[in-house]
Amino acid sequence: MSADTAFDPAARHSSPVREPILEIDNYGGYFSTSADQAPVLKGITYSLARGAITAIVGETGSGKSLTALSMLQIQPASFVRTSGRILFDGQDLAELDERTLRGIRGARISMVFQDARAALNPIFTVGRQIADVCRLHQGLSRNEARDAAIAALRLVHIPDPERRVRQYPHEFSGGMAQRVMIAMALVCKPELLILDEPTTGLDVTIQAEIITLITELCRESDLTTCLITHDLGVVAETCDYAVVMRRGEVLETGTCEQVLTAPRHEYTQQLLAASRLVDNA
Amino acid sequence: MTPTTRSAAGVAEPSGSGGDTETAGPVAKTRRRPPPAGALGFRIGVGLLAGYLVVAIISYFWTPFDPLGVGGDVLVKPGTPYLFGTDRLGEDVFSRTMVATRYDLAITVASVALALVLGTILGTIGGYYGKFWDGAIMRAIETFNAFPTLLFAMLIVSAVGPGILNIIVVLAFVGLPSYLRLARAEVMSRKTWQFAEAARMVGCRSWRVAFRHLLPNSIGPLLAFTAVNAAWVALITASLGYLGIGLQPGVPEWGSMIANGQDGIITGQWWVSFFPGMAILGMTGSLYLLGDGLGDRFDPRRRR
Repeated sequence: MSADTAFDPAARHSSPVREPILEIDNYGGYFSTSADQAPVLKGITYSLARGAITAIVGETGSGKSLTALSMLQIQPASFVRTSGRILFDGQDLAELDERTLRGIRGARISMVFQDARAALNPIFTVGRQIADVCRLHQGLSRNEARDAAIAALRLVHIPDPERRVRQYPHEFSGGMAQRVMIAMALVCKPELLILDEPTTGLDVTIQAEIITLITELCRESDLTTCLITHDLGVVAETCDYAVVMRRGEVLETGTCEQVLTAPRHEYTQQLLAASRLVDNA
Repeated sequence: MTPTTRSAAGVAEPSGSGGDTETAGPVAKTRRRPPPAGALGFRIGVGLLAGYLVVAIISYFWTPFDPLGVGGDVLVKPGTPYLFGTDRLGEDVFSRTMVATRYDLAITVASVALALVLGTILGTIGGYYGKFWDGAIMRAIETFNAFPTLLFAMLIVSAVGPGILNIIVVLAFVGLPSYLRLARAEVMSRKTWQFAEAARMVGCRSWRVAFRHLLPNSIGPLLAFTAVNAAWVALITASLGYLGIGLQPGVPEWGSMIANGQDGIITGQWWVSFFPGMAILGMTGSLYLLGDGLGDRFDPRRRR
């Protein structure tokens, strides 16, 4: 396997050191529900370097989330792929059968959604929801899974995890719920973690805590992270690579430094200018 | 929560249906929330139903008189020894009302349980998978819905003949569409919610998302509706008995007992119809009260 990946065109963007864990190659498509069937993704091409934090930056509707959902093959059913492929560890995800995909979701690729409180099932305790993931993928017993859930909550610095596992999602604040989501995403020790605007809708202080937590977790383990965000400040501080998207197109890819200090595309420059205004205020 | 829960609450306790939520008002800012407003009604409902169950069980071992014992004193007023009096054939109304509890309770519970389980499964499939399955299930259900319910039940019962099993199946069949629609609507409204997507995202297969993640969220409304529907089924059971097409003739059943005694209402022997009528009223009432309280009890956000 390692021999194969060595021959892969790893350095699609300027990342000569790390080979990619996931490659999106000329990925495009449209929604069958739209009247004119205008493409919503146009030849998306970028890759996620193993062990690095890659930021996907772009405005609402630029296709960031849709691409991310495609990485798990849980994009809306109305999305029709017209071109390209998504290679995870050398395998085209679109070619895999449902059974194999289920084995990947939550176990090898995990995702954290924007609104954690909506992503937790309101009628089950958070402990059970985390434990369910373990039992599903690792076949743990009830008690083992519960211990794993407690350990996962401890990993994301939730105080008093033994008590918290027995609580329901509505007893958690937004920031704590987001930590639960991260715990759930990490409980099976995935290789790739996708965070879809994990801090949108949280207080600024909580945002900072969550971002710190994410960076810490990624740096500690050999976890590849894909961070979808609006916040260029976060990108500058934490990310290794950045991908700028707009209207279903990738405008610019490169290391964080390159993109932020010497943006090649006009839109990136505008983004930076806008964020600087906010920073100075 | 849903219109169903709310209307269920509205039937039995219009004044206090909103008191168990957080919107208690700016003044009542107590640390502990008061017990849910439906709690008392719920307890009464449960208690009454338990009473019916006990009576039904006792009737297997003991009744004051033989419920089928024709030939005693005819049309005796309530008192001693005939607590509820006797009917035109000299049968003890009290003993017959006791024995009838078995039939009415068994028919109601069994047919409702059958309808609930089948309707929920089919509704969840239709609501979650949509497309072909939804179309097939819904068109089939609409065909049955085209007939008025009681008429439909009467038609089938007269076709397949009387008997407790037939009645149960027919009533389950007649009640099934409502459960199906409710479960379908509940699942449909939640299937695009993020937690459903999150469940798919962690690798759950589709039936697991539908039945283990979405359906449990609908248990409250479904059970609340079930209890209210059970009251309706109890009434239909009695109605069929009243019309004489329910059970075998002579089997004690509240509806048929009312029919037997209806002539007496004009001539002054009110008790023959009155006591079975009260039994029906008590059972439907307790089921309504139960339905009122059930909806809230399955939502962790509303549990104390």
